Amino acid sequence: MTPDRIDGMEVGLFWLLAVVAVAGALGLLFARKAVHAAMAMATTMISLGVIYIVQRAEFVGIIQVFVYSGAVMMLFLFVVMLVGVDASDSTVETLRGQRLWAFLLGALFVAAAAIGLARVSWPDAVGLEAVQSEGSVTALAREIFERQVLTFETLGALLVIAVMGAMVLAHRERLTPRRTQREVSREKLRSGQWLSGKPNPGVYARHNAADTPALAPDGSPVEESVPRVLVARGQVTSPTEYRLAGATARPDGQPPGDLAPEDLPTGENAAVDQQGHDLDADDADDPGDGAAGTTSTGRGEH
Amino acid sequence: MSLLTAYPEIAASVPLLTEDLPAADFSDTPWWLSLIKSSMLFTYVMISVVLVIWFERRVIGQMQQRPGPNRIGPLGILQTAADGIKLFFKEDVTPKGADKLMFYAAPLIVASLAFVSFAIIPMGGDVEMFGHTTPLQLTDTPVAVLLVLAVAGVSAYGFVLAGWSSGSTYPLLGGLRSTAQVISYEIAMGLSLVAVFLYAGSMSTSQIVEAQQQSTVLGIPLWYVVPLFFSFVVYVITMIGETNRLPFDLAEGEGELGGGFHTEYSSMKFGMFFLGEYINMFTVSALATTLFMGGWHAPWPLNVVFDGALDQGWWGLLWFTLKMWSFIFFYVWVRGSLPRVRYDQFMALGWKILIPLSLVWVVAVMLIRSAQEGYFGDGRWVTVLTLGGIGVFVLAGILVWDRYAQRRLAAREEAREVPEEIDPFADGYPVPPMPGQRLVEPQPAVEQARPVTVPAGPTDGDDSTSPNDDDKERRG
Amino acid sequence: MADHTEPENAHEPARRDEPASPARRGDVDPAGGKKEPGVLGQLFAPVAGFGVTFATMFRKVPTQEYPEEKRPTATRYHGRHQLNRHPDGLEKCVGCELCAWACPADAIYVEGADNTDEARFSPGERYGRVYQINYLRCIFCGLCIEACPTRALTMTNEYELADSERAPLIYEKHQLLAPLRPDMLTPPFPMAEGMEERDYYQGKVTGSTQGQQDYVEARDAEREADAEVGS
Repeated sequence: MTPDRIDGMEVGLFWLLAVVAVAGALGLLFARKAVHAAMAMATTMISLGVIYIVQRAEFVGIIQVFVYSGAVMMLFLFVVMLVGVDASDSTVETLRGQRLWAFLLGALFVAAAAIGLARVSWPDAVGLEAVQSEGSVTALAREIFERQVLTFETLGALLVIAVMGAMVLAHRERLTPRRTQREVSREKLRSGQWLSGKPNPGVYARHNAADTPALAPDGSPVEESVPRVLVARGQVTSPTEYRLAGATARPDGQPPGDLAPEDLPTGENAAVDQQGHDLDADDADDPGDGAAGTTSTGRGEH
Repeated sequence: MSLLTAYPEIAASVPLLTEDLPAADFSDTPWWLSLIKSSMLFTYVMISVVLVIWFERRVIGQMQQRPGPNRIGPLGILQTAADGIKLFFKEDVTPKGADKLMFYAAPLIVASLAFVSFAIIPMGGDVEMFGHTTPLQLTDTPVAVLLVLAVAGVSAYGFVLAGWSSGSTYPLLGGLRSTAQVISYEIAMGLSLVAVFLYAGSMSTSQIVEAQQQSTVLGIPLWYVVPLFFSFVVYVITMIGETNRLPFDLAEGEGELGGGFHTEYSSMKFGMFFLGEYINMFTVSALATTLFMGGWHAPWPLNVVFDGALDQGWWGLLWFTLKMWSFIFFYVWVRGSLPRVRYDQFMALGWKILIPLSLVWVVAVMLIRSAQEGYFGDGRWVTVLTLGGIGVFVLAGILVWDRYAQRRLAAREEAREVPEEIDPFADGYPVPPMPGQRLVEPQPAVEQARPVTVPAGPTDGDDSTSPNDDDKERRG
Repeated sequence: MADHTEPENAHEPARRDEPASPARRGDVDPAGGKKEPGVLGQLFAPVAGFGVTFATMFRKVPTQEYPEEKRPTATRYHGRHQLNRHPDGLEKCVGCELCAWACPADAIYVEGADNTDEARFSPGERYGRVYQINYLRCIFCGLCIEACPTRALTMTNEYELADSERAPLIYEKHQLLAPLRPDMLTPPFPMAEGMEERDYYQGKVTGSTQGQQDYVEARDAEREADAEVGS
């Protein structure tokens, strides 16, 4: 069932996947944005996984996709997205001679690896059927749990220790007891700050416009009823013409006069001139009569 | 030097599970037949998706005592087509701050990867197609089920990229939430599947289906939903969590996050996400059917009538579809019945409850299987004793947990009780009494009053009477 | 009135004096109050909701499929208005504008005009020359119906008035007038011989008289002749 030579399908797939993998690796090196680099790396890993599957190492291939791309690269991606690596990081070196030493050591490493690989003696090929006679997963299981059990158990213990170390390092000991919700609400109540939601602009309004302040029952304008931006820009209009009839803030019983400019919500150049006349008041706010609106008074012969 | 090679008598006596190769035979399947099968599979999945949208809306409507869509087409069956056409004609908006490449790539990743998992699902027995005998399954490998998990892990990329590349806060939060949800529940899902692998001895889907059919009790094939009931429950919970469906649809919780990761998407890109979500539903339902409900085999009396004629070939597709759609019905039923959970409750469920319990369950299954396979010795009583031992542990665990829960409940009841008598000014501001409560009376003011002195004769200024004196006069 | 207040007062003090029993609160009372559910009930309590949803699937759906099934309206439904006529065809509306004054939404516009001998539209002195109801403003409260002194204005049961433009929703008089019955004549024509407005109001006119019919025939013939000559 399993051919011993590489057949045409495998060659074709290899060429396709190799191009994708190399493209991903180049993308990782030359991408401008960090997220693009991370995705390129994920692409490379996935194509490697598929190459493993094509070569009948299905378990390793799936695990490569599952663990490497699905978990490790996802972690990278989370960090990059949340912390946000900027493309405009400075390229000025912080360590002196870093680039030179990096090249030297890299070249040394490549030399060592090349020499080591050249001296490897490959055993004769036995054929996949002989190794995976019971199935690929069982063969792998034999390796892990019989022949190399000590190595794998040690690696497992190492991983567990690493996880525990990460937990210990990230753990912050709580020095004060945690404030319950009850305590938080009590503190807020005692501090005297405004707790409930403020009324929306328009709740006490006497006019449709957002720049006309609402009037409190005693006739004074309510500062919170106008957006702060308008107050800062000084674009608050005077609500005098919408004042309640009979509302008086004057102790001598006189009818209330126009609001003095300083009584309006403060803005440097409020749209009121010195006499308190609205500079841009031009209201024709009698609701117009529709075609069948008002009753006819004085029209026609009655 | 391994245990088994050192002691060959153990190797001889213990039957090892070496049947992890696929049971399906693909030797007579040329490459063009695989292409035809893959296009048939694609059609099957697309038709299922179109139907499920209509099905869900109708069933949810009936559960809420209303008709559901019934205007377009008989019984509203063309509603999906209408929605699709509407989506197609919508304006395709790309936000200005979006990362163009990833914005386009994310829905593609989600939609295309969703189909891949269907490749290994066995939908029927061996059939004759165009002169070749081929199983109704696109492909199979010794690690087929892991492929589904791997694909789920990679499609999580689609969510997180969609959220990040939209360039705004709600999608980013929704995308991260969704991805965290998916990868957390992947672990629990994997653990629940481990028990199935232990029973079937393989990770190949066709092998698992055959193993379920082979293990019979009184002639009735024992599907894994019965002996591995706990795994089934965990798998169902995690499958709902994986597919972002109610009660676990926090990533797209409309009330909290706008639209979650697909807020900024419109038109066909949104359609891709929509499609991907429904296909994911089908994938996990198909996997549940295959691993726990006997795959494409007919349920019990029907697989023995007519000499097993109903249990072969194309009939398998019918049984498989029925079982898969019953899972879909369950999905819709859950959606209509349960409210959305909170995010921390959801994460606590996944990490603190499902994973530890699954681990304990896997250990228990391992012990049971070892006993069944003869690792603890031969004889009928080995299995029973092992089961008994596990039962004792489980009971002890339940008793301990019950006592802990009772204690917590009693503490909460005690905290809720109101004391008989309270001082209303204890917190600095006055509180009214609860029903049945008494207030500690403040010191009666009369005791503190000064004796009233009435001035004899005219004193200098009648205004010297302070308000306090007036009050005391009134009280005294 | 004393009979009504006495029993009420008898209840009030009892309710205030009675201590708030825990049984009424329902949550802190293990002994009395609610019964504890059985073992099976407690076991399936978390999934009781599933049973409810499943059972609801088989209940009858109360949705009314509107355009295909229309529920009949009540007898005195407030629908579109209608200006009624007397049995001989004269309009009942006298153009008094009481309906316009009564309307809280300012939806009615009426202009009255005098009835002359040559052109008489209603019994009596005046008739409604212009009569408009703006259905964009009308709230269908029926105050205009209550205000009409001659029962000219009533409401039909017609509610399907939707339109896609604003102008057509101001109904004119010809759209509001009641349709002519077979024995009615088209105004203008004089009142029935010997009848006054009061007789019309009291319902003494039950149909058109021969004199009125002759008048209308002559009038129509003259109009046709004029139209031929004119065209």
